[in-house]
Amino acid sequence: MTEGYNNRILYINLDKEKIWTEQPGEKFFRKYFGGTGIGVHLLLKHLKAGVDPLSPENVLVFAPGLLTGTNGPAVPRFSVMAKSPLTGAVGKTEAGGFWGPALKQAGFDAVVVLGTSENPVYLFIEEGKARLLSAEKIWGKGTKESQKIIRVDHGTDVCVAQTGPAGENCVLYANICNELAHFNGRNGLGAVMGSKKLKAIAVRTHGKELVVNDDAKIKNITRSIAERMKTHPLAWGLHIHGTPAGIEAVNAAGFLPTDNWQQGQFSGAGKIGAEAMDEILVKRKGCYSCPLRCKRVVEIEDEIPVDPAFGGPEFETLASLGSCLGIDDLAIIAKANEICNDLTIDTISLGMTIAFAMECFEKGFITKQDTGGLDLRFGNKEILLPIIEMVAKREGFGDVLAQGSMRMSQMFGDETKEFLMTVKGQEPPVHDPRWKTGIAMQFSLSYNGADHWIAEHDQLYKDEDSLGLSALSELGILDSVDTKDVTWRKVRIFYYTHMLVNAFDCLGVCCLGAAPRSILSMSEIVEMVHVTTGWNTSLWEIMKVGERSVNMQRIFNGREGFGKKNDRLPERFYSVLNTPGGKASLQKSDLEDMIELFYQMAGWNEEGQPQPAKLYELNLDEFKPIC
Amino acid sequence: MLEEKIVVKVKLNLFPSYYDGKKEIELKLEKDSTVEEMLSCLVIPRGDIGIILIDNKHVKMDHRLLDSVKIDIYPIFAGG
Repeated sequence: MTEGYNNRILYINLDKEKIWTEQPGEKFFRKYFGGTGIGVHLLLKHLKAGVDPLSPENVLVFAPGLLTGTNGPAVPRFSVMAKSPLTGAVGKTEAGGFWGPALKQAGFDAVVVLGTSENPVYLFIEEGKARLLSAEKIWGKGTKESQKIIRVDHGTDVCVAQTGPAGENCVLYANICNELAHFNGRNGLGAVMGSKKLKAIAVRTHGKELVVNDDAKIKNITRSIAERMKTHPLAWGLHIHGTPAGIEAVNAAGFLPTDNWQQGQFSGAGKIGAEAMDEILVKRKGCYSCPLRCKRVVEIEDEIPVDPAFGGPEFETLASLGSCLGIDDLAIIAKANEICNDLTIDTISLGMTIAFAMECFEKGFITKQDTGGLDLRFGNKEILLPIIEMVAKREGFGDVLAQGSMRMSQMFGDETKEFLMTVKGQEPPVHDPRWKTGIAMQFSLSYNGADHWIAEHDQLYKDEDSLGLSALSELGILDSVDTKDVTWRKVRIFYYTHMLVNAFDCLGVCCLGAAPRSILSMSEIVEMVHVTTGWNTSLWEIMKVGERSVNMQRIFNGREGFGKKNDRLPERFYSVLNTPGGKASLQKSDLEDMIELFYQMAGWNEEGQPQPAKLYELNLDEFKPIC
Repeated sequence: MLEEKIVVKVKLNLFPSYYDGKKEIELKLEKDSTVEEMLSCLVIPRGDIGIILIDNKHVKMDHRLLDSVKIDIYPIFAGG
């Protein structure tokens, strides 16, 4: 009997309505773990280079992490992967919640979706079996109603991962939702579901638990985290204030993206941050088995009612739909969050795309004739809610916005590139590279377009006397490095933590629960892998799984034509930003030097492709011919 | 001769796990105390403080504090 995994990967061919299972064996799971590791391996194996991401040839993989489904803390995550319709590069997006654990408990380690169905369908999984069912009665409906209908048919304990109208209409940044408040948010993989006419994957576990090596020891770690978190400032702060605390803190530093990143301080920050949210907060919720409970649930009963079923806005949403648009009305932002969650729209790309359109509008590149009369000035909160519906339905100017800001820039002229904020075609999360050079590297190098969670953040290791640096000592990172450092010291820490965070994505570990950002230590993660699987493992082995995943993502992108030329930031990030601490800037040549040094540390060639020796070292020789 | 003291107000922005969750505290310090000396009087470890502002401006560690000044401190925020 296997422990911690099922040794069963479920395949669905929607063209042929065929379902089968493969059992790749223990060595496969020990080599790739789960999550992104398994996901990108399966993409390289089954997906041909150069296919249209919205065609039947694209392959869609759902893969929980190795630890997902156990009773451990901060391990709820699963990856969804495919070729991204937004970027054309590898699509990779993680979510917490409950669906990933449920899939493992229902008997599968991953689901691979091939082909396209003729009619809308959803997949129903229980007790190690799967069947395709008609989705005619839920097609076109929002996530709340669809989930309700599926639960009426299959039971109230069914977990549903689904896309909504935005995915059905192939909005290029449509996402995938589980439990109405958890999202595989980025890269437009909801559109891939929509293009395949796959509305949802519903999973029922019947209360069955995942077989592990030593459940009591896993529960002990969860209990220990629950006890220690009250005296751990980073973990307790996350529990009490959630990610919205970032609004006040980042604004105080002068780096809160405002009006499409033209400024770094927003006069209305106090109205949309954590303390303002306390006024509408009704509950703190968490993910499966995690004591941190960092998610917010908000409710408003006034003239703009906000439904608590959809949770509440996170830091990224508050800034993307708030400060970035010059909007300081928390009720409007919370309502926008609810609508996006019901229609499955990534709030980051949506906000950044509207912000780009607003700057185009204010500078005369877009007129009211283009927008159908919409007054797209920064701060005009009246347009936000109608625009979201238009995007999801691809109506009027919403059809233009649905394509994301890179394609809009191509439509409205080269001059708009000056303020186009994308990396590899994806709009960035709200962290300014002029504040922290590690973020500059994260945005530049991320294989799935600008991503702020492919390494640890600079603030966590800027001070000697800090919890973050202390936690990183397990990697041999012993000396603090300044947030604006551009030397080998920063590249080294980026390199180590890049592999660590990618290992998290193979394990299902949540960055917000794990050290150095939070409380779950690396030693505890190693122990969890041991008591989940029974393997005598080590941090070294775990880091190598992360590195393997990184190299496979790079190989995927290489065969799609991505390389060094794509590892770059938008021009605006090289301009000077005025902050309370003075003028902040980032030199392009410094960043280029850092990226080149990273390639060398990683064993990659000048174009950023893995060298054969690196592939041998990682036991990835099977991918050598396609490099 | 009495030693001269100053009193400063420290607004604890988003530090729920210190000072019983209080949002503001007062500190009595020696005259001409620096920001660095003020921080050493807090129970919050220096490394867990991300931002320090006086009148919405960043200040250096050797900045000397005046009586009655209001100081804002924020925690490290590193990815959300």
